[in-house]
Amino acid sequence: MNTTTRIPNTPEDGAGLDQLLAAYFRSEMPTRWPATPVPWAEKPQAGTNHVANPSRKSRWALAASVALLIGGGWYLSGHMTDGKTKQGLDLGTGEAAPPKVIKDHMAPKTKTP
Amino acid sequence: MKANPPAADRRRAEFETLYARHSREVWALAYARWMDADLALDIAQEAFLRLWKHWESADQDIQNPRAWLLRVARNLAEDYAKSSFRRNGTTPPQLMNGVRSREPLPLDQMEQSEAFARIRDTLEEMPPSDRELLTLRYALEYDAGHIAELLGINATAVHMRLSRARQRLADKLTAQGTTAIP
Repeated sequence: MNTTTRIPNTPEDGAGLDQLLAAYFRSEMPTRWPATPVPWAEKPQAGTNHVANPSRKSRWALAASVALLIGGGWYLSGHMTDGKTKQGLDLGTGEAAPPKVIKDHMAPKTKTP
Repeated sequence: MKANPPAADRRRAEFETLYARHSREVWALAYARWMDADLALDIAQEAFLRLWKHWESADQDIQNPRAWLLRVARNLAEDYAKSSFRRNGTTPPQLMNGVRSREPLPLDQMEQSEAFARIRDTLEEMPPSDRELLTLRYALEYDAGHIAELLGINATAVHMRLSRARQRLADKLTAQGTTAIP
């Protein structure tokens, strides 16, 4: 038995193709059409927006971290230069220069008249 | 400028009317582009949400919301090709997954589903413009005059292109030995 039926193509049986296509497209269309969207109901409440926005929150956290890093570095560097432990490096020999040499080098130069 | 309550109500009513009248047309154009019913639904919803946003933000009114919606839907469908729709809009489901069944398929529907799968394959090989005509004709049951008005083309041209598209479909399906609807 031949189960393959020729697709209607002549004007006489064109209704068959129409029927086939209509059935196909009907099967593709959503059976239950979604209700009208209500964008006016999704509007965020004024005042809560800032708190709810996670990107804003993370930006603040990043800014605070950077400020802390810079402030900490500055604070520590101030401590180190005021103390006594810093030593310079003599570039000529690759050896650390004695503190006195550095002190002399850093001392304000007196202007000659 | 903020709309006062009666104006806001009018706008909502207008929005609902537009959705009831034109959401299927918007869906049809998006469907014709990608042959994906769920993605087309997402695109249609996104187009309407953008219309609302435009109303809220823009000073100028849209003269022809139907044409605007169809244009936005077309652009969104094209954007999908560049994947920007994923980032800017809703997230569509997997694309081109073959024929999806919305209900369990008993054995007596197998033949029909095979025929539909072949129709789908054949439609995918056709130009999107032909698919637009076929979708509007068969999914929405629009006549040539209505399609012409929607697409802004001549009704005679719609007749000719529809006829050619049907002929091509029939030839391909016949060559594949597709069965008619059981």
